[in-house]
Parts: sequence; structure tokens; C-alpha cells
Amino acid sequence: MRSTTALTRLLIKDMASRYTQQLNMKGKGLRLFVFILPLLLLVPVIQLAFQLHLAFAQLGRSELAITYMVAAIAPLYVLTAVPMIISLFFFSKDLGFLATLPMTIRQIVTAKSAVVYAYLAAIGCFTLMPSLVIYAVVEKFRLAALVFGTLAIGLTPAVPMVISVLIALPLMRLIGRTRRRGLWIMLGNILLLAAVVGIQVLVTRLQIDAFDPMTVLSSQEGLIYLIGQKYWPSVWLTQMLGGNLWGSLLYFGLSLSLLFGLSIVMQWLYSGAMQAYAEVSEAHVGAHNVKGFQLSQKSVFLRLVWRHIGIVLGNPTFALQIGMSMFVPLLVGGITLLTGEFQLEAFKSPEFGPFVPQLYLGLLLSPVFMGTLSATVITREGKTFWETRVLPISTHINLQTRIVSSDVMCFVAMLVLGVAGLAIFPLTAIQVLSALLLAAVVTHFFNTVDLYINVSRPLLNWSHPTAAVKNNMNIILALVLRLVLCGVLYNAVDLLPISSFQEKTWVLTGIFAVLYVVEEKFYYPRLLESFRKMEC
Amino acid sequence: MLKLDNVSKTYNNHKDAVKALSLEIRPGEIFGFIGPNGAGKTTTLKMITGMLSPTAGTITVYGHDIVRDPVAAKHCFTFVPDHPELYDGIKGNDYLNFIGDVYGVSAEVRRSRIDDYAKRFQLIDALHLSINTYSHGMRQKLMIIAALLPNPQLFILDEPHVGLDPLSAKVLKDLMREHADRGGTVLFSSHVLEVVENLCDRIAIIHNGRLKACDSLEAIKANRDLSLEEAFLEMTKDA
Repeated sequence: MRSTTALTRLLIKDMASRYTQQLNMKGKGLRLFVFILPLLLLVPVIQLAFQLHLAFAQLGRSELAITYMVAAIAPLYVLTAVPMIISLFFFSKDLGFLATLPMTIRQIVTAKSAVVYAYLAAIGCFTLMPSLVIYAVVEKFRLAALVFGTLAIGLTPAVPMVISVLIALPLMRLIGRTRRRGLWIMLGNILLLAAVVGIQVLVTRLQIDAFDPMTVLSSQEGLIYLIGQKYWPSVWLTQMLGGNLWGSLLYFGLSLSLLFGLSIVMQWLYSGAMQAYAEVSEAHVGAHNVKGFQLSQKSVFLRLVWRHIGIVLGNPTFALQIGMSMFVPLLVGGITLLTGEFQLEAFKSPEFGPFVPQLYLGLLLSPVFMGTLSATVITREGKTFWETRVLPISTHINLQTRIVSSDVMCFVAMLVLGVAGLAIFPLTAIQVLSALLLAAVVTHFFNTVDLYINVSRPLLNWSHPTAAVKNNMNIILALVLRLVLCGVLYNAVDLLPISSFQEKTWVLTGIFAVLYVVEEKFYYPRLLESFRKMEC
Repeated sequence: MLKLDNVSKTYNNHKDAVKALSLEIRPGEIFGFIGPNGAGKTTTLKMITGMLSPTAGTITVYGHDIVRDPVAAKHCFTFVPDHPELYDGIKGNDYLNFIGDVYGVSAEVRRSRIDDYAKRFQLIDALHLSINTYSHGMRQKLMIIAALLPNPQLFILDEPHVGLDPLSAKVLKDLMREHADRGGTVLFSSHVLEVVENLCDRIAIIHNGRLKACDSLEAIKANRDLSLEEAFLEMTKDA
């Protein structure tokens, strides 16, 4: 017990400390921002909780706001827990270290599970507590609901965590022995996202298809079952808040028995999966020979671009983040089309017509917006940053290859999305050309600006790839800059006396081109200087 | 006492990393484990420490089988790996406290040992800093202090002198000798034959997963009338 508690404490301390370190906040004021940031994020959650409360209060069932939130948060738990379990249990660098300590597998598994659970419970508190507090305080003060609700929210991660473990550990047991397990993990995560979103959409469709207003409204429990259908424990949790003993027993019984079952199953699943993983790691040493190598001579520029792209694609965490974020429109579009949630014909309707060029432009711009490649080339190479610094190459080439590698990845994604968009949207050649040109200029401009951000605030000492992409303030800054600049410029152009979107696109292309020239003329020398001064 | 009996390790049913290795390391001795890169030294140490399971054979640490009774066996030793991978987010003293808790070292003993070792390694001023600010050598020193903190019966180190400055290397050598003089056992792997020659009571030479020699230094040299370097090169020469 003492060892388990000590390890849990250490892991939580390590995770919490890395959160502040990864944000790379050095100034005193910025450090304060680290603690204000979660509070800022709480504002929209509270707003949503209030809106839901008001909506359900009109039906006289304000507690359903909690049912709704719990059902909505369950897929988020699974999506968060699966990569976290894989990362913490299999890709963590403490695996060898822990294996040498006088601790049983059960103790290690319990400590690590406690960390995952604590993380999920924190998400639960953050997203569900506002709804509970509003329900228990706003209309009338309900002490029992507040106390039992807090306990129940603390147990909300139980069911999703069991589902996550049952996905993650057998997956690792299965693919732990394969050489390309990084790729499999990436594919597995994409499939998981697709499955979770797909199931949600399908359940919603089934609910709509089976929706009979009379049945739902005639029974006291009709509405709650309708909302809770997506995630059944949310029904019992809500019944518990209303003082229903049967609901309370079902909710607590299910959560606690699942947690107990998990503690037994996890040990067995983990030891098998871990052994498969560790043995492959060792066996791969020296498995290659020179015959299979590509040793042809290529230009330094190409080699460097390929190196930078390789850093992203060679690492499952980075590849997953980039791949998923770049192709989000394709993924979401594919799922909604497959489940029948959306019909392609809708784009050909007169209501959609005027917005088609905008939608196509948005699709093309999504890689540079969603991909947030800002951290790719410097942050993601982490401790290997020194490599290019000692090579006989100019700073200019060093920087340009980093920008070009980001461009290449964005352009590939843009091409895929662009072709997919052509199959969906009815567009003219000039509309396609102007959108492509603007997207290309914007992409190159922002990729250059991202490098400024990363050179100014390098983050090289991360312990795990996930640490490089999570809580990275450079990514947040890059995103904010994109949204603010594009928002301001778009609205400014909107004020000009031109009505066609086509003309606005040309004007925006010109503005971004001018901005790029100005940046190259005045700021690029500073970038070179800052890069030269960077310490690894 | 550490005993390896016919220990083998095979990866993917065909790659033999260690073949039928038998060794016995006695209390109070410093035992050096040497061999070329890829000879199987680290795999052997990983099997001894429970990081890998042997494909065949048994390993007992002070009478406890590492596979059947891992927790009892692990209570008898501590390990310093070749790559000092540590939790980056925590402070040096957090890490030492964690080790103290796991091995059940009392607060009083913990304080006096940390004070002593950290001063000798000149790390005392860095213990309150986050580990991600540590250099490779500082991490190595922290791991050595942590490994000595429970005063283990068996002290195992993989390439411990890599990355240490001359002063710290000397401190480590002194600590290893002191540990053995108190009746503890020290097992370490190294490429630095000079260190092995000056420090070890007995050595084992391993090549391609097989034990080539296991004896006192004098006996190994005398049998062939060669220096340790020459004997090592001869034994690890590929046919």
C-alpha cells in the first residue's frame, strides 16, 4: 500500500509539474496565466450548463441537464483514456525502472490506473460540476443532491475507463509483438475516433427514428430515457439525484463492481501486453543489415526536408496528431455521410449555393488551421535539435527546410481535401484556382510565422512525445494568431465595396502576399539572428 | 548471493541473446561483467533485475527466485541503468523520497544517507531542482544516490562510469568498495577495462551471449600470460 501510494503521488506530481513546464511560461505574469487558463476554459462550460439548465427547466425537468452532460462526456472519457493508457502503460520511459523495484505488477497497475482515473475525474469535475451546482443551488438548495451528485461525478470515469482498458490492453497485447506497432496504434486511434463518433451519430439517428412524442411525454421517465439512451448510467445517476434508491444502487453498484473487476483483469492483461512489448523492443536491436538501406546521394535541402517530415511521420504520437487534425473535415464528413446524417445533394441546393466557395476554401485551409504544425520542426525534434546545428549548413537553409517541410505536409493534406471537395462541391475552375492560391499563400505565411513562435519559445526538453504536443503554448499562440488575423482581415475585406466572394479571395491573397513580403523584408533577419542564438 | 543457473534468453524464437549462462556472485565481492557491444551484458542484467524474463534457467537473488518471487528478490538489490531515464517533472528530492518509501527507509536514515551521498557527489544544491534541468551526469549521480539509499545487499550498475566527471567516478569507486567491505555485493558492467582491473575482485567475460571466462583477474591473466586487455581481445575475437 505504501509503495502504491508513493508511486501514485510521484506520477501525479510528475504529470502536474510537466503541465506547467510544457506550457513554457517563463515570466511571472505568464506563470499566473497557467492557473488562469483552466478558469477561462470554465467560462463556456458554465455558460453551456446554464443554457441546458434553462432549457430543461422549461420542461420542469432541470435535472436532465446533468443526464445530458454525463451522456455527452462519456465518449470524451474514452477518447482521452485510451491514448493515455497506451502512453502511460507502454510508452512511458519508467517501464524498465519500475520493473526493477520491489513492487508487484498489481501495485504498479493500481498506481498507474489511479493516475488515469484521477485525470478523468478531473475532467469530470471540470465539465459536470457546473451543471450539478446549478441544479442543486439555483432553483432551490438541494444538499443531498449536491453531496450524492459530487460522489456520483467522482465515479463517472468508472464505466468509460473499463471500456478504454478493454480496448487498449488487448490491442497492445495483439500488436505489441509486431514491428510496426506505432503505425497500428495510430490506425487504432483513428478507428477508435471514427467508432466513437459513428456510434454516437447512429444512436442519435435511432433515437430520432424511434422518437414518438406521445410516448416520451406521456411517461414521467420517457424524456430521461430518451436522453440517457446514449449512455445508460447517466439515467441511474440522474435518478439517484432525485432520491431514487434503485437508481442509486444500480449506479454505485455498477461503478464499484466494474472498478473491482478492472483491478483484477487489468493485472492479467497488462502483464501479457507488457511482456510482448518489452521483448520486441529488445529483439529489434541489430535486426537490420546494410543491404536494405537506401544509400543514394540526394541534395542537402531534400535530405533536411525529409528529416523534418520523418520526425513527424516516424513517431506515432506526432503522426496521429498531425494526421487526425489535418483530416478532421474528411473524417467527420465521411462519418456523417455514412451514417446518413448528411446528404451530398444538400450542397447542390440553392440555399447552400452561395456558400460553396467559402466551404471549399475552409476545407483547403483546415490543414494549416487544424494541423497546427507550429511545433513540428523545432519542438518535436526535442533533444535531437543539436543535429542540424552542428552540420555544415547555413542558418538560412536550416530555417527554410523547416518551413518547406511544414508546407509539404500541409499541401499534401490540402491536395487530398481539395480533390475530395471537388467531388462534393459544384465549383467552377476559377473558384478552385483562387481558393487554392489563397490557401497556399496563407499556409506558407503561417508556417513561416509559426517558426518565429517556436524560435522565440523553444521547447526542447520534453520527456515523452505526448508532452511535446499537449499543453504546448506555442500551438495555442499559433492558433490564436490564425483566428485573430484571419478574422480581422476577412471582416476588413468585407467592408470594402466588393460583393463577390471571388474578388474578396483575390484581395485577401494580395494582402497575405504583402504581409509575407513585409515579414521577409523586416523580420526574417531577426529570425535568423534569434535562431543562431538558440541554445540546445 | 546472486546465482544464475543455465540462464538463456531467446527473442522471437530464433535470436539467442544469452546462452546457458551460469554464474555465482558471492557476498562482499565486486564483480565486473565485461564484453563487447551486443555481447548480452545488458540483457543479462535486465534478466537479473526482472526487466526481462529468462527463456530458460533460473536466477536467484539471496535465495529468492526473480521470476517466482520477484518482490522479495527485488528487495535485496537496487539497480542503476546505463541510461538515467527519470521522471522529468519532479525534483531530485521527490525521487529520493519515492525510493525511500518503496524500500521502507526511515525518515531519519533517509536524511543522513541523502546528506552524506549528495555531499560526496556534490549534488546537494541541485536536489531541490526539477530533474529536467539536470545534466546527464547529474541524473546518473541522482540514480546512484537513490540506489544506495536503501543500503541494498546487492548493488547492480550498468555502465556506471559513463558520463561521470573524474571526481564523481572516484566517489563511485570508493562507494562500491565501501559497500563490498561492509559485506554487500557489487555487480557492474563496463567497457572500461582499467576500472574493472583496478576495482574488481572477480570478472566475467561474455561474448555472443556465452560466458568465456569467470575468475579472479589474476587467474584470467595468469592462465594466458596476457594483460587483461589482451586476454579480453583474444576471448572476444570472432572466428
